[in-house]
Amino acid sequence: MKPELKPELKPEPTGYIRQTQESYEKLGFAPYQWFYAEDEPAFVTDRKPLADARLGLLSTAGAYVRGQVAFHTKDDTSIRAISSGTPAKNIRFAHIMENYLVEARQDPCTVFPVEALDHLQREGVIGELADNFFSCMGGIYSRKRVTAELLPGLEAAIDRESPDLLLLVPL
Amino acid sequence: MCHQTVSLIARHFEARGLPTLILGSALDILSAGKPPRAKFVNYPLGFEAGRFRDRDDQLAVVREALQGFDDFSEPGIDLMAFEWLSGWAMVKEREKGKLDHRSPRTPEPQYQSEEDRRAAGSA
Repeated sequence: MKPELKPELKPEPTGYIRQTQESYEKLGFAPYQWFYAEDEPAFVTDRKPLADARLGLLSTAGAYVRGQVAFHTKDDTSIRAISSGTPAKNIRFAHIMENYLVEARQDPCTVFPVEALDHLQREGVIGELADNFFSCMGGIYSRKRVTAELLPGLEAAIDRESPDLLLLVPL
Repeated sequence: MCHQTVSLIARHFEARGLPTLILGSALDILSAGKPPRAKFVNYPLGFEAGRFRDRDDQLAVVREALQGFDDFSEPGIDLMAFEWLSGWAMVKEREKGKLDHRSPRTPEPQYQSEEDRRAAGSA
């Protein structure tokens, strides 16, 4: 699928890269070097239909549950496993951009959709949910640390759950 | 930043053979990161999975996003048609005049509450 007709969105989608560049300039910071992919991504064509698939979830909103160590804000590359049966009210957040979490801290499902996924699994839209979902703190300024530290940890964690499909929800 | 990180993660896992789909709200960062599959919802950051305390909207957003697993036949970003003008107004008012929204960068865990800190044994 490649959308032919794009909806007329109101408001216009926010230019976060431009916004960041402008605010950094006003604050006297060096410009942030955003990642611009130079090549097309891999694309798996042979995949299970959603209704037959085991779905995994990765949130980068810094979600954790009571009893777990919260994330820190200095390029934290650690990971938390959160049971897919966790009640939404037990989910907390720690993230460098906590201004975006004011409402999520009262209603975690705005960024960590456990209830919607549970509903869709019971309805048969999703085959099954992985036993554990995963969370990390996606505000990692160093791409090298994403590659060298976060990705190997995620590989090990996500492989253990053997999902057929992986949903990713950023903050 | 999170949208950049998930783009890197999605590209990595797709290359290892696991189909991925991002449900995100920063179209320009996703476009730059070229993930295999993404569904864009034009809500403020912090509401990627739907409106605050609105289970019907959250379910509709997640349902439509997940459909992308079955529908995409090539890499791309699909723009969903959800609108939430009052949500944008709420966030705009809150962020008015602020240039830097980041919390201080510290290696100390940032618990949501003191009770959480105690429960984790870090008091």
